[in-house]
Amino acid sequence: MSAPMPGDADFVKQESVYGRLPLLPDEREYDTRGAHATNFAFAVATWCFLTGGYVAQYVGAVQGMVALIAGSVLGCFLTTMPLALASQRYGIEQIDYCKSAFGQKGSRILLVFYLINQLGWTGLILVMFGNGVRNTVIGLGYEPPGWIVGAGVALGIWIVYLLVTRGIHLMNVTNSYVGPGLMIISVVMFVLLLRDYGWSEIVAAEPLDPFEEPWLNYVIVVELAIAGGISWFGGVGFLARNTTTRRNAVYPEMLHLGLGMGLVCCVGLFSSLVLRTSDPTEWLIPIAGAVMGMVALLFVAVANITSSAISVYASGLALRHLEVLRVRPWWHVVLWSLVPCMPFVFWPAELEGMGSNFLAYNGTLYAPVVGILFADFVFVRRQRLNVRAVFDDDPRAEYYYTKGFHWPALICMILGQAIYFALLDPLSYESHPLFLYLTASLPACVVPGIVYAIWLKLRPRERLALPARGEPLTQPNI
Amino acid sequence: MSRKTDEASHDRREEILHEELERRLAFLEEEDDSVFGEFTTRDWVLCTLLFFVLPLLALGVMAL
Repeated sequence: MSAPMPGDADFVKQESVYGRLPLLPDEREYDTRGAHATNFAFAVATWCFLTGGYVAQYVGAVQGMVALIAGSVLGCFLTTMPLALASQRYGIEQIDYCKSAFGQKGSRILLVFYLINQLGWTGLILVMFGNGVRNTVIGLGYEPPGWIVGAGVALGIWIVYLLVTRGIHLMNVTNSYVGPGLMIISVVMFVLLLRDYGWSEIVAAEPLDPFEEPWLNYVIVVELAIAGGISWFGGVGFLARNTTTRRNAVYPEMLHLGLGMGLVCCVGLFSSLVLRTSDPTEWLIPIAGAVMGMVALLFVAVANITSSAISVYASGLALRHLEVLRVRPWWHVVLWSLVPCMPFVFWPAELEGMGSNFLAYNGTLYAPVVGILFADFVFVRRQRLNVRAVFDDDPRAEYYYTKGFHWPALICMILGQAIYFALLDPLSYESHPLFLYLTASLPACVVPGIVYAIWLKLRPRERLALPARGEPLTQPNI
Repeated sequence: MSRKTDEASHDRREEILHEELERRLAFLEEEDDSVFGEFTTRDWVLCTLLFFVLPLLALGVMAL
């Protein structure tokens, strides 16, 4: 061990904030207020309005409201409990946490899912930011050129880059202003909707483009809502890792990412139903008037940026798992995180049109993973990790399993995805009759979780818990 | 010459990182759960009822 040198402390700080070093309690940014503000700002982005718009295609206000709120809370619960509790207790990044169930190399499969999820959402939100730019120009009385949405996406990418490379503290400060502002706007929008149209007109509004069978429409919406809740997989561990207490990790996530998202989705649903458009940036000005509508648009645009920044930050941390990016400067990693968003600059409308399929696809990807993580953390490990093994690539280490893969988890994940596809095709929405009673995400989550728990009960892990507590790592993978 | 300096710097960084990781792991292993805040059985029951059972009931009732 060599003597500390000037600059070492800065390097360590950089590696904890921008790298994978476990965060210690005094380094964590989110106390109760910070956790609520950040979760709220993360939850209340235009993806809520977008989801509300998608739901308006299939069902009316009352069915949509119940399905959105209950479904998103349910999905969020399944995702939050294992990821938030583990990431908070051990201060680890969530792909690191997933190694306990999937193995050192198996977790890299999840990394692919994770990046698809994070960057897909980021791209969609940035398109809404671009739409906001376009509609602001229209609101000012100008005729915008066709490329303005793509230019808006490019501008959004640049602002996100600036924000993310300046660290989590700036994002925390931004969120503490954006969160309350958005809450006010959502409430005002809802009040204006009620004033201008009345509850009876909202309730009476027909869905925009439903299937013939009403029951199918309802279950599709439940499915989208559960998938929306589950798709927080990309953010919950990252947010929880930065919280000071376990309750600060769980309750703000459930209240904002689950319940809050469901409620704000309803504002999007109601607006889309009465104004007959699913694009939120198109209905803000008609509902709120030119001045108030522009202010609302501006706030939503800022919120899009902060939400995107959190997603990109989390993606950057996840990309640290790749050998080639492990020791690169943070701004390199952020750039690589933003590259997959570039298609949204060139084909914003086409990619935006695939949003509801993307939402359902999240359910396909994550439902089995979430079920396995829940079973593993809660029932198999009793909420205890061998945190040392997370960072050890020694083949004898507890989470190295078989050549880096934990096959029971991977097989159960494939089983869950097979169940999902047997029940619902997320692209065409063709479904099995059982889908009408079970949804697709719930069985694809619960069945693999149960099979995994039984599998490990019947064939318990024979590996020793290496490295033992206090024993030095033999092949550290940081 | 420059390459040697880069390699030395890289090695030094790796060394710091590993030492720091060991220090942090020791802390996380030794500290009691209370340092990270409590999440008791009561919290689990509350969360399960509010965020799992209740939504399922609501979805079921709406379906009827």
